[in-house]
Amino acid sequence: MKQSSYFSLYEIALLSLFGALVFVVRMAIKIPLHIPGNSGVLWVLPVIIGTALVRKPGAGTYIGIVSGLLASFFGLEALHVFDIFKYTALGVTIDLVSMAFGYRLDHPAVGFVAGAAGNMVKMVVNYAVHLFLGVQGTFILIGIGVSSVTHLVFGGLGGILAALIVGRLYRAGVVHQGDVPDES
Amino acid sequence: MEFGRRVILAVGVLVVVIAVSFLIDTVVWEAYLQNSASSDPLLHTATVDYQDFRHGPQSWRPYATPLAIGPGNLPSGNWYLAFVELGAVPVGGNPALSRTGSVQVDYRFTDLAGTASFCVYGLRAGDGRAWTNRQSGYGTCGYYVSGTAAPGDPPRWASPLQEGDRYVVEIADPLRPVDDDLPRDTRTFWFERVGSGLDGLHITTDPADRRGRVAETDDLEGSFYVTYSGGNVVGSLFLMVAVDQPQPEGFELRLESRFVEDHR
Repeated sequence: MKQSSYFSLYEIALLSLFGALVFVVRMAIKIPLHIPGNSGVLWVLPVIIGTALVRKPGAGTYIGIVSGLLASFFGLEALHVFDIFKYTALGVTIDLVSMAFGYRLDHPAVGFVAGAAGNMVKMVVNYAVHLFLGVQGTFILIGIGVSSVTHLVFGGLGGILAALIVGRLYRAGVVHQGDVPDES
Repeated sequence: MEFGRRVILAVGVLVVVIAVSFLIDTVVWEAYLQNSASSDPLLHTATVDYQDFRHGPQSWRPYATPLAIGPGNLPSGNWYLAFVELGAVPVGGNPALSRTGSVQVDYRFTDLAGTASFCVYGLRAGDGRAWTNRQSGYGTCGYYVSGTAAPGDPPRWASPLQEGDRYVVEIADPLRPVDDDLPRDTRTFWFERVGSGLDGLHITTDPADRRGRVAETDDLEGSFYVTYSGGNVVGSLFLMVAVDQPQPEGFELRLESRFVEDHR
């Protein structure tokens, strides 16, 4: 007897592509602002849009794991294999926020909360990994206040952008809320 | 719970997280200021003796392609190399948003024979990729000290490094085992490609001149700064001390290093 999987083949393909998009965006686009968390404006976009399209618990986590694996083994960031923790944490957070708001990710306020929360959790995991690796806590933790505000602002902006895109996709009829086609 | 209240609650949670972040920031900052006022808790000391020159004789120093050790572009001479961890790291980035600073290194030689060359190596936090100071072209920097002591016997324990892009170097450690059969502390420096890893770390005598320059002196006691102009996190910082003569038994290099904040 054929056992149906949690995600359909279509959803897995979609989520994997969004995971890859997070990685590509992260590697290809560098914003020379030197402000902590500025990249969050870009990399929460695919996670939120992917979660909004699939509308199943675990969709954000799946995107986070795929992008984290890519970043860990093919990325150019300083943390290398430890990158998987922050990408996954971002995905899990966006998943939880989406569930809490009934997947109304086309609403800018929900987009803001999802993006800001995801980016801030990513920051916390980043700090934790650096501390774990032995970087002196004094130098990391001084400035965490300003850093958390910038992570909130950039993540929130990315979330609002994602919500606007999702809303346009819904209204244009490209995808329907809760109507992602199955593989059958 | 209605939708609007949930949004307000979520924003409230985010605000609480930010408030906690500022609280942590303030507590750590005050603790740091207290410690700085009472003594110098970030001061790190190290001593190099004639037995700590574990690598050489060789004309070059580690990088993706061999770099000269003495002044000039081309590797020449027979140098013996020792590596010391400095215990502090320079911090680059946007000075408006983080505490940027350099590492001040105070040195004092006893019985130095020939010329000593100081170079720096930094390891990125999280991987083995390394930086070093530039030896040629724009941004060349280094620090050379000349001594007049009589040379000692060539160190029988030293052996040249193998050329490549990955180097395992022995670290001079004040707590090293007395027994030479026991393994010493080592670190791996990996240089990804030629041209990469040369423009992050610099040696300078003036921290305002962050790109550094080449300094030569006869003073056996002095200081210089290690600056960082990159945006990544330097996980650990090492000083390479190279000498072009075997050192006598009375040789000693005393190092004191500390983080000094930029005042810009």
